[in-house]
Amino acid sequence: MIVERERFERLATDLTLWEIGPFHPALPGPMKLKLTLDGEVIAQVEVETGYSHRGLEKLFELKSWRSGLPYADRVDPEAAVFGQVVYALCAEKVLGVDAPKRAQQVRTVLCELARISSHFRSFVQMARSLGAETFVHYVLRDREKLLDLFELITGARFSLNFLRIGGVAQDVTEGFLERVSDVADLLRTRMKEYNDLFSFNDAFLGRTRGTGVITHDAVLRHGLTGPNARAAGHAFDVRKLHPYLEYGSVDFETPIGRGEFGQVGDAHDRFLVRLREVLQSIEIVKQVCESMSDGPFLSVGPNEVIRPRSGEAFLRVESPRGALGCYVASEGGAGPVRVQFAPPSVPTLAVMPELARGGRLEDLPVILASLDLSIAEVDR
Amino acid sequence: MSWREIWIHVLGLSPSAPEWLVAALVLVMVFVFAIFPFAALMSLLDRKLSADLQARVGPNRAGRWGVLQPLADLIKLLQKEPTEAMGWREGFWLGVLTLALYSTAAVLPLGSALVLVDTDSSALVVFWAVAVVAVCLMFLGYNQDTVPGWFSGTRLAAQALSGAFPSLLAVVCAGLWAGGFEWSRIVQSQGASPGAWAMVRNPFLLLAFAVFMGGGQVILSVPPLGSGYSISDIKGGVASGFHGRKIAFFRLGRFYGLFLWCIVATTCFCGGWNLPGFVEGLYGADKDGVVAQKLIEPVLAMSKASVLMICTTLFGKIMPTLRSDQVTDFAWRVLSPLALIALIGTAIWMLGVPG
Repeated sequence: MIVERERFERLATDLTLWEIGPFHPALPGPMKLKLTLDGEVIAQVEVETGYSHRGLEKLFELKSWRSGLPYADRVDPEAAVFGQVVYALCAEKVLGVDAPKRAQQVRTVLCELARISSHFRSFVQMARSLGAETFVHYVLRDREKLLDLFELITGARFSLNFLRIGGVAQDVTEGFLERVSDVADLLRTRMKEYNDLFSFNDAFLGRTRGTGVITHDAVLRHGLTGPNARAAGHAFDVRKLHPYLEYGSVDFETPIGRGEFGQVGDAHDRFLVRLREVLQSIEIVKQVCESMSDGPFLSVGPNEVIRPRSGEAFLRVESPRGALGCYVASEGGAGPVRVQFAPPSVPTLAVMPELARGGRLEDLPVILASLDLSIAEVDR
Repeated sequence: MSWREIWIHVLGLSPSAPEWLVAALVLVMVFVFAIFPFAALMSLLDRKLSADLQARVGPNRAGRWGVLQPLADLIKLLQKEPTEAMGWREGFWLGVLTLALYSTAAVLPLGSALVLVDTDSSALVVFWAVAVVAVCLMFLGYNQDTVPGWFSGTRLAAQALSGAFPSLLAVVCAGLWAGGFEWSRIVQSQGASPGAWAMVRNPFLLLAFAVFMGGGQVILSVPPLGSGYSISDIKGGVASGFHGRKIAFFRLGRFYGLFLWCIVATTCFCGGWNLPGFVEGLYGADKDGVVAQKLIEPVLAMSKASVLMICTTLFGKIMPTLRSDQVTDFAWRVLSPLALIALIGTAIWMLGVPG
């Protein structure tokens, strides 16, 4: 691949400028890519974002502690629950509220189901970028089952808005844990189907191995986290290193990229790491469901007054795209004076031009899909 | 009986009717009664089978089981008015493309009564048409004056060039085996039963058949070798400038290209329009019996072609799309050597294997 790129780079052609976006099927969200092309080889990439800026962090300053919580759902709509989890954990720390164990377990189950759902979406993006429509439909069929579970417990399929300061909005509905277990078993068998159809398909390997390689050095330079960093061999997982919710009491592994079919940190490694993370999430969900404790699901009732305190908190959770940080500051008022998120897609977007440079134009959608970017959390 | 006598008998024309009139009527009938309904049927089958394969419902609204969906699509697309006037360059290249593509109907090997022109280069005419279509598509892409248009046009031309060479060699294998390139000679060199098909009687012709089908996918940019059209960086490519009525004709043209390729493959390697013996026995040897047999031949040939088309299309639904440089590499580095092996092997087989 490197030799091939060098050969292409020697082509003496006029440079072409092409702006893709802000809306284009090859892009993960509203953004503009300013490409300089040498033939079909990408010579330079400039990224322009901000098309879906909503002033989200400022909104939190205008809301009370409780009424700000639904907005945390919108940090990354594809994995909505993680914004709520990190905000709720920060708020609870500042306000001195503890969520009961059952609530923490429900939060953990929701997080892992959302992780699987988000990873499935990234598989769909990946398959779409490669024109593999059958795999798209297979994954979407299974993702529907996860959305059904969300609907069963929260009444919503996408923006769940289920967390509350001090716990969750409701207890799990009857039969929910059994259905979670059934879906987990089903998904485990589906993984083999995915592998047969896609993961080790020669055409898929041909498009992804050696494509968009993230080096260990790039991980450290840009501060990458999540599956993209783990695919490059950097085994950093907030759930393992700084356990929160119920992650300290469950047994799971952190998959890392091994370059089995190409190079460590290439697009195929990123796909495989996510696929293996789905299996780990299934294990976590099953363990938590089996050990679900009895007791209350909310420590502070909806009508109880929370006495605000002054202070600040910064916490991180492991979202499907990496470490999602949240900083919350309080001066003892009815709401926070500052809320700031540190989403993982920001460093991922920063590394993207480096990965695309020297590659072929046709690989750009594959690189973008393999990075699993969320432009919503970049723009906020 | 010649095709002219058959059609004069079928249409009830005067025996002195001029040949150009009969040929024109036959071509109109081929399109109206064979190609257009077949396109609708294949479109429906493609969508239904793809839906089954992909665990979804598929078309089920227009008519019972969605059988009227192709008609509904056509009516919808034809009703759409163009948003901008067609430029003269686009009109010119579209015109040339249409003429080149559909003129092949005169040599389309659907049956002995439908091959209007059967020369000693009939099997090669298809390559002329495909080459013209590729050039037209390239200029249509350039004419869009957009980056997706340029890249798509260039990719399509490069793919057509790379796929044409192995495909041509594959057809030469069939011609070598048959002793000529007339359709009638190629068909007569084979039998009706699968055991008597060229690709079964000679393993190198089986290889040539595989090369021909692979080459066709490259030339016509059919998924998974369809990066000229369908890859997401240039989403739509040349076709991205087409809307409404133009997209209806564009899809018909894409269908016709694949149909042409599959009917040629059927004729060269899969027994063509040869009818099984029991069918011949069903009809008498009189004029009506012969005419009836001649009219069944296209049904058989098109059935075989439809199987090839469905397999090709479904294969494309499953596999990820290759990059255009991978497609051309595949054609030059894999298909071309295999085609050469098939050609040399066929020649040696013919010399060395008796009968």
